Amino acid sequence: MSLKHVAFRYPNGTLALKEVNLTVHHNRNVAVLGPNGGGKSTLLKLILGILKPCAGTIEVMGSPPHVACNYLGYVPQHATIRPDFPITVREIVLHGCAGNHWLGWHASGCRHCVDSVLEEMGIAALANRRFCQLSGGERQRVLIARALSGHPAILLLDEPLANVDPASRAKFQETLRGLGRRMTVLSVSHDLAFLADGVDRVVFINGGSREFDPKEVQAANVQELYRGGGGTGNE
Amino acid sequence: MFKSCTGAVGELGMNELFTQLFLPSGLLFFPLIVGCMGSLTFGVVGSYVTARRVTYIGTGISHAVVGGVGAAFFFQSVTGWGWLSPTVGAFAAAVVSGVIIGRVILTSGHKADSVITAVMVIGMSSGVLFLNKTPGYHDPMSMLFGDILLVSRQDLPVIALVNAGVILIGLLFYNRLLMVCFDEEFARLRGINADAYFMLLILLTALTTVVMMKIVGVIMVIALLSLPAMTGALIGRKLWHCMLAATVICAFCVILGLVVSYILDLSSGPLIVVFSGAVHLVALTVRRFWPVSRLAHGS
Repeated sequence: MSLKHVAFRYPNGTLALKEVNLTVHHNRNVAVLGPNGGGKSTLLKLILGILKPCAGTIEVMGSPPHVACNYLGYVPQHATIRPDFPITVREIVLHGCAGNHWLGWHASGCRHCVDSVLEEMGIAALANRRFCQLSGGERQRVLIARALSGHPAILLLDEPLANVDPASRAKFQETLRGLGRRMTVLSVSHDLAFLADGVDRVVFINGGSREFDPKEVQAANVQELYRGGGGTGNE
Repeated sequence: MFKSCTGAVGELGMNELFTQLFLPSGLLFFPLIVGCMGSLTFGVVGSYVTARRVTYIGTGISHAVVGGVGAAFFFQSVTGWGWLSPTVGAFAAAVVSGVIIGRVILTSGHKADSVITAVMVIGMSSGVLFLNKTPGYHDPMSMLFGDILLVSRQDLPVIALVNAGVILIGLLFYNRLLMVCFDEEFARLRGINADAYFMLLILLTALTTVVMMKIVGVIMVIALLSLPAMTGALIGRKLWHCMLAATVICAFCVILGLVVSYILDLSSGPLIVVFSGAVHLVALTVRRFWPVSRLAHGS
């Protein structure tokens, strides 16, 4: 995945990102950090092809994002999802492997795939529970399972620790590290807890982008980084 | 509105009630059939719009329909076009208002509230103005509140056809509509044309509104579109459970409304809506003491 000289301007004229350069190789675990309003979620939407850059190029697996969408697994912030929607865990995960059938019928083998993903994420026992009955951490696992059921090469997570209670964080991060060993994982967060072990690179986004080694960031003054981390271009 | 011949329970034998309800010659026979068919449509479409939280679209469309009906009456009398019936006008207004509202929601969601309000009030006002200028007398009250008891054998084929079409589309595209209603953004990322499915949902809502406004009128059609579905959502774990529950609840309220209106000599439309509201309140109360976690652990 590579972003070269990417800039994005919202319709109201606000320049959200400028000169963002980022290259992520296979099976790397990258944390994108930055303050609120720094452009992290915008960057994610550009990579997903939901937004189009006003300058620069984005390539995912050698193709533009909208062509490569089948390689991408996306885990949104579950705050954006209607929690009281009448839907079970299994149904949500089935959406991840929704085929191209015009009626939305699931391909054979899809249910088996869902079962194995539910097992892998440790939520097999919740398969028939309603989404609204789950805790924040469980909901996050369900959304990851949905993304994984599409067999993505790149997993993009938006604020994955936002609703996970402190007791479950370690286990959750262990899950992400495990995923990072077999696919590219790019997590967007304002939470510096992401600087824990297992992250290969840290990218600070605050209008622009700067790449760091995780150890480098841990040693630095965090507030200083947040204030000045949005310098343009990679350094 | 129908007024009962007797008006008292004691004088009205159960046999007479059954005759009115279940024999083709009975006053309540066709309303009962239409009500039960409508319950299925309300259950399916209502569950989608309630789960997607766009019941306000139904409100906007149902009120805008008055403009279409008024315009149809006016132009029919002025031009003599026989094909321009109030139903055609209602369909046209429902589709146009649905497309306007849908496009605004998809392109600039923050303006949806004001646009729906504008469509609603302009539709209603223009409808009343058209009726004012139409020769002869046209009672807007029958349009606003409807009368299921005026449904005849002649109305049945059209209502049945539209209901069947709406239900067929609603069930055929269940997986796609479920996905789009739950998480539109994710559906788009999976290459699904979420906008087209959203517009399809609006079209289904528009058709349901027009056909069913004959039962309870434009004001209260939204009640039957939302109340049984909201009650169903308290019960079901899956969307199709909610559809099933909403259909049963709606049919129950329609039958109860018809029977009570016959016995107590009251208007049927408002009674049906009052019963729907009462059932919803009872369900909410039960849910308060019997939370969803206990309901849903079943399987």
